[in-house]
Amino acid sequence: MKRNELLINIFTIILIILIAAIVYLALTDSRKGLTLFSARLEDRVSYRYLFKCVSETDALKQRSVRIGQSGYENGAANIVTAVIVDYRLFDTFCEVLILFAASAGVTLLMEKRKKRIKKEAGIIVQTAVPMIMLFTIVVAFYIILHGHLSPGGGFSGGALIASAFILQFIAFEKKLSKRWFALLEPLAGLGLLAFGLSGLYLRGSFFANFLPTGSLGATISAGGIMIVYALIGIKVASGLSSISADFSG
Amino acid sequence: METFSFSICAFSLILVGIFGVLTRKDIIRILLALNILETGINMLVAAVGYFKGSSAPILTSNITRDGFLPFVDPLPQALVLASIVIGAGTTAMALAITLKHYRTHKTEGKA
Repeated sequence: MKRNELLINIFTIILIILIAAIVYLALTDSRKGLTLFSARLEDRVSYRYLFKCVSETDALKQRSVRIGQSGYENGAANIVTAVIVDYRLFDTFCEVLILFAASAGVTLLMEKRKKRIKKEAGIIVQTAVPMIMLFTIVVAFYIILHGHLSPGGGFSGGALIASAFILQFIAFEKKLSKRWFALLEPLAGLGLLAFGLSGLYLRGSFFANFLPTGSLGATISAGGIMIVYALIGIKVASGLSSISADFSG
Repeated sequence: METFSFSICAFSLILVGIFGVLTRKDIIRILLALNILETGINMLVAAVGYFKGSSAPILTSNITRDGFLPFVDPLPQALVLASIVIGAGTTAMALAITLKHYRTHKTEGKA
C-alpha cells in the first residue's frame, strides 16, 4: 500500500515535469516571430477595444478617443466593462446562466435537515450586524452603478450584497425566506433576455446597445450598461445568497 | 521581467494543483487542489495581458493613435472575471454533491 502511493507520486511528478516542459515550449516558441510575452498591445485585438472601432472595417478611421465627447460605438470609460457588458455580453449571459444552474443544483441536492437547536449569536454581534449590512449594501449599490467608470460592476457588487446576507444568516436565527431569492434570480435572467431581444428588435442584432451612449466619462452614460449591470448584480446576489442559505442549513 | 515572474508563480500553482488532483484520495482535498489550479490559471491569463509600466485600462484622459498607450490588455481581465464566477458556482455545486455523498455513504471517499 505504502509502496503503491510512492509509485503514484513519482509517476505524477514525472507527468507534471512533462506538462511543464510542453507548456513552456509552446508559450516561448519564437519560430513564428511573435511569442506570448513579446506581443505588444498594438498587435492584439484589444487595440480595437481601446479605440472603440470594433465594428469599423477601416481600423484607422477613428484616430483618437476623447473624454466628454459622444458618438462612439460604446460609451464606457472602463474598457473591461465595455468588453464584458457590451462586446461580449453573450458570453456573460451564458456565464450567468451557469451560476443559475449551480444555485439550482445546490438547492436540489441539499435536502432539509432536521431542526437543530442553533445557538444565537451574542448581543454585540446582533447589534453590529444590521449596521454593517447597511453600509455593505450601500457600497455594493455604488459599485454596481459605477461599473462603467471605475473598477467594479455587477459581479463584485452582487458578491458584496451576498456577503451582507451571509452575515445576517450567521447572526440571526430567523432568516429571509429562500423563496425571495428563487423568485428574483429568474426574473433578473428574464430581464437580461428581454434586453437582448429588444436589441434584436430595434437594432437588428442580439444584445445590441439600443440606448443613447451619452458623453464618455459622464455618470449617466454608456447606454444599457447600467441596466445590464444592475440586472447582473441582482442575479449574482440572489444566486450566491441562495447557495449560502442552502449550505447554512 | 514582471510578466515572467508572474507566469512562473502561476505555473507553480498550476502544477501544485495538478499534483494534488492526481495524488489525493479525499474529495475535499481534490476540490482544494482544483481551486488552486484554477487560481493559477487565472493568474497566468492575467499575466499574459500585462505590459511593463502600464496601468488599469480605464480612460481618464484622451488617447490618440500616435501617442503612447499606458494600458494593460483589457481582454484577459474580462475572461478572468468570467472564470472566477464560474469557479465559485462549480465549487458550490461540487461541495453540495460531496455533502450528499457523505450523508448517503458515510464516507468522504477515502480509499
